[in-house]
Amino acid sequence: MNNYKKVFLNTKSSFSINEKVDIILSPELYWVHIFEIPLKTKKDILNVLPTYFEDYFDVEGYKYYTLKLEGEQFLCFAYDESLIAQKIHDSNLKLSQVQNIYFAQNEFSSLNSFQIDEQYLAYHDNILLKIPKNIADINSATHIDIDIIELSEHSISVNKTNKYIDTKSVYILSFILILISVVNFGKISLVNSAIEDIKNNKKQIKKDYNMLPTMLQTKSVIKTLEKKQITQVKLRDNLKKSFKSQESIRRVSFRDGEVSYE
Amino acid sequence: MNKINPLYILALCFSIAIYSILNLKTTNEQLETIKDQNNKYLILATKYNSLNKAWGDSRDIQKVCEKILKVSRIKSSKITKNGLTMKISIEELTKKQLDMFINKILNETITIIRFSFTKNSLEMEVGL
Repeated sequence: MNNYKKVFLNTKSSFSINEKVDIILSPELYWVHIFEIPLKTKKDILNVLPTYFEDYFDVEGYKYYTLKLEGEQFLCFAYDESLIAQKIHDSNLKLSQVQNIYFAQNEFSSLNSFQIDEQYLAYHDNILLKIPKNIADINSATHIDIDIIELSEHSISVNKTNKYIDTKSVYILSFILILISVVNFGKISLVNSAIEDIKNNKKQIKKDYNMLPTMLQTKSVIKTLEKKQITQVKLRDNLKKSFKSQESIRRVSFRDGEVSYE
Repeated sequence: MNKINPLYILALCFSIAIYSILNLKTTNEQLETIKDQNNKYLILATKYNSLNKAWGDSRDIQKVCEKILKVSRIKSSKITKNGLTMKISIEELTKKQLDMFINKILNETITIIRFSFTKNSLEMEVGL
């Protein structure tokens, strides 16, 4: 397991860290509640969680996370991803630095009350709460060194893309691009097949027209035959003209392309 | 386990799409070029074929000449083959026979090397 630097993120955090970090969220940055839900799968529970939380706050834009406790009891979290991303940004961290994000609720369960970064936190009915400084029992609150905390396996992630495009849109766009690619590769395959057909057609033409093996030979023969044709047509034209103009000919001869009369 | 950044997936899909578009463009250009070459080859083949049929060595020139002699009703003819040429000598021709023979022979695509005639005789040498 990677041991990244751990930071505790609250609404007033400010860091000057360049390395990668694991973030533990202050209770200020998420909602947590234990619900009894008569469902078995996590997927079903995550689907119904908005209806459970909507009694407490406007659930628009929230995401959810859940852990099974006992029987039908579930520890349920609701968090605003954009708020967390904003707080990460406000604390001088970059989203690309963030490896995993943990809820403080799950990471300090061995302690009853403690102090971390000027915040007093305590478990009450198994829920970790932020205690106002004026009512906190400052003397009994242990000051925690966050780096010695063993992190749990219960982490979330925030959208690291950007604020202009959400993950769902990225996947839809990716799907469309893949679809375009598949169509294009299909077309390429058809065009390649057409190219092969034309190549075969050329071979057939060569066979049907009794072409010579090379283009050079073919062109040379065509040139010779064209020359022969021109000469022979010229001869025939000359002869025909002669027949029309000469009324009485005793002898007509043709040799080496020249016609002579006697 | 770290998730792959969706933007990387988008970039990969975008690259694949661009590659496919460029590849399709190149393949289409190849098709057009090959079509054009094939058309030119067909024109050349047609030309070669027609010229070869007309002036090439594929035909039996002797048979063509004998046929013309027969059609012109010429009986007193002598045909002599000499290597790549053939000599035809005709004596005692009437004007009608001469006209018919000359007309027919000149309309055939025969390579005439030498050709001479009088009012009642004809001599010609043709290429085989």
